[in-house]
Amino acid sequence: MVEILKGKPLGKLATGLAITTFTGASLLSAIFLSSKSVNFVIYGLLPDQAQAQFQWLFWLYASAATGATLTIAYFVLFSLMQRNGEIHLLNKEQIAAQLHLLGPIRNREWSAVLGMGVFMLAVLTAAIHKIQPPWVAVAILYALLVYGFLDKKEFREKIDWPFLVYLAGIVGLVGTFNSVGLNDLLAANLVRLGSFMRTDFALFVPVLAAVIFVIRLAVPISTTIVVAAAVFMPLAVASGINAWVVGFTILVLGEMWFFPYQCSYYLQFRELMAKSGNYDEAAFLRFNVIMNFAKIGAIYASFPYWKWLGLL
Amino acid sequence: MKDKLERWLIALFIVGSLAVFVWTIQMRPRILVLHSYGADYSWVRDVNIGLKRVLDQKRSYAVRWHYMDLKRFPWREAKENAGIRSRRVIDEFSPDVIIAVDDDAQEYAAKYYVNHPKIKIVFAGINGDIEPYGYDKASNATGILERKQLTATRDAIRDAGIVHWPEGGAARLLLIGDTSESVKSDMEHLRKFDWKPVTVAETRLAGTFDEWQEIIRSAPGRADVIITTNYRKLTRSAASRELVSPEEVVKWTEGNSKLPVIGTNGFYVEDGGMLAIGTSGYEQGEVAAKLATQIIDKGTSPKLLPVVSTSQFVVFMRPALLKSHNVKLPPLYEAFARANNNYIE
Repeated sequence: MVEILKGKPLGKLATGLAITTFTGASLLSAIFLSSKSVNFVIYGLLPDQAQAQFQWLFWLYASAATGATLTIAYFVLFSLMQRNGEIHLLNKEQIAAQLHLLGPIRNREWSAVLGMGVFMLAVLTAAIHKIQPPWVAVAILYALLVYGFLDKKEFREKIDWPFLVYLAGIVGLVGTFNSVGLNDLLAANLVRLGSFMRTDFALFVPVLAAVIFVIRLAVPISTTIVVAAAVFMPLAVASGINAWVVGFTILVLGEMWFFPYQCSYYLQFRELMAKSGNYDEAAFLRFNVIMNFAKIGAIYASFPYWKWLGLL
Repeated sequence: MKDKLERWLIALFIVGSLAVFVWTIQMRPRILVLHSYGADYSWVRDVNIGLKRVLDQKRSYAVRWHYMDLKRFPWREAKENAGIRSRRVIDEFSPDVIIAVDDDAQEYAAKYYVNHPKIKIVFAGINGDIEPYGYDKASNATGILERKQLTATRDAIRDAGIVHWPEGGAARLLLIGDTSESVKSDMEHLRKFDWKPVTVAETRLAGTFDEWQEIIRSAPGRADVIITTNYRKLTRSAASRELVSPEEVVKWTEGNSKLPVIGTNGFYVEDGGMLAIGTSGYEQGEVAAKLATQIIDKGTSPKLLPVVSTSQFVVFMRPALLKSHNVKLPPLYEAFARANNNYIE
């Protein structure tokens, strides 16, 4: 794209595009329940009646203030740091040629669009028809299979089964925690921390951020989130704090990283970009560091909203 | 042609299945059981047993359970937050009947649905009056009141021979509880009850564990028997929000009280106490569930179903403590307690 737009290598346009691509895929990962596997671990750690409440749509509703703050922070920061004077001309013929190369939308692609549309519609109207989203998803999968949009071979090979097994294992781990009473044990031994969490949640957030920062120096994102959630969420339940608020805060803070080695998907991104090598990594990392502080700010900005929702 | 027909038939099957699914869900009567307290509280457990005796027979019902857990977190902001969350659950689930158990569920959630055109309210476990919730004028509310079984308690004092009236004079009671709203309502009821020939010497509410200890220590000489309602809201100190565990309160009380202590709830013995003549949670749950099924199955308007009051009680005993306090009850008490698995050896 940088080449097509005639941007300068290592220039603001190239770096801006890199930031946009990366942030676009990661910034709102905690905002949607289904956007990241580890979100389901947090969901699995919620008490039963909270799970019934924090279905896909209400999760989005409860996280909306954080999502909005993060999006605004991103646009403000991006316009401040990545504004540039480069003039970019999009050649219409070039776009037309590329569209021609892609060809018309195929039936398989239409089925994907239709499947997504039906799923979104079903989620948005769940209050009326009362069908849980997983059943809608199963019905869509069934339709894709019987109509042949997804054949048996693809079903076996294209679905990330190892990941699903991993996810089931992680969620099962949470159940095991509860079953053997490890959650109660933690809560009983961390009474003071629970009391601190309840009486001064605003101060608890930076403490939690510091704890997560230290763990993240050596431990990957998902593992950090699982460990922190397994400790703090049962403690929140025992202390009368909404477990989702704590779990969601851990999700947002757990995504913070300062050094490239801390973020596996950034390393993948860098590897992909290494072939073209045209963005300014130092500027990229500076932007990322400031966005980390925006994440903490977004949590604080959500406090009044969570209070209004009766969550805090 | 055949292929096209096959595709249409498959589409018809999927859409038809979903339509039947939606229709089935829509047609199922929905009941929301809204508890003021947590599922691990023994009172709630008993109420649930009563509810399930009836609701488990109704396979076609969709029953959802929601616990406000306010016995563990009795602070005002916690109650308001739990109320907001409960009302959201009600709006989202849109039940045909809410079975609201205990006072907080009425105060922070159910009363907002008084005279709602679609939702009916069945209350249980209300210790005080129904007027504060507007149920007396509501066309969509009925239920069962929770009243302490004081006649049975008075008889137990007599049967235990703690004070041999009339020879020994009338027994003097010290009524003690925490400062929760339900205890305040209970105390009002206890004060109005005709205890004759027993007399109420004093009514005391303790906010902290220190206050509780002081009342128990100073009781001898002023009373002969202590009656306790609830003690789950005692804080460690005036400056602390830490609640003292019920087991700790009862252990200290039984270990330090010179007077016999009788609970008006079964959990007093489960927490380590000597004797309790408790309101039956089973009855509260069973009656509430029966009222709900009458509303759903027969379409009876709640205003045609009169509000009922407690008529059953349960006996809980801990023989080792009865012996140490030299309290001897007729064998009937033991048989009754044993029959309900409330005889804790």
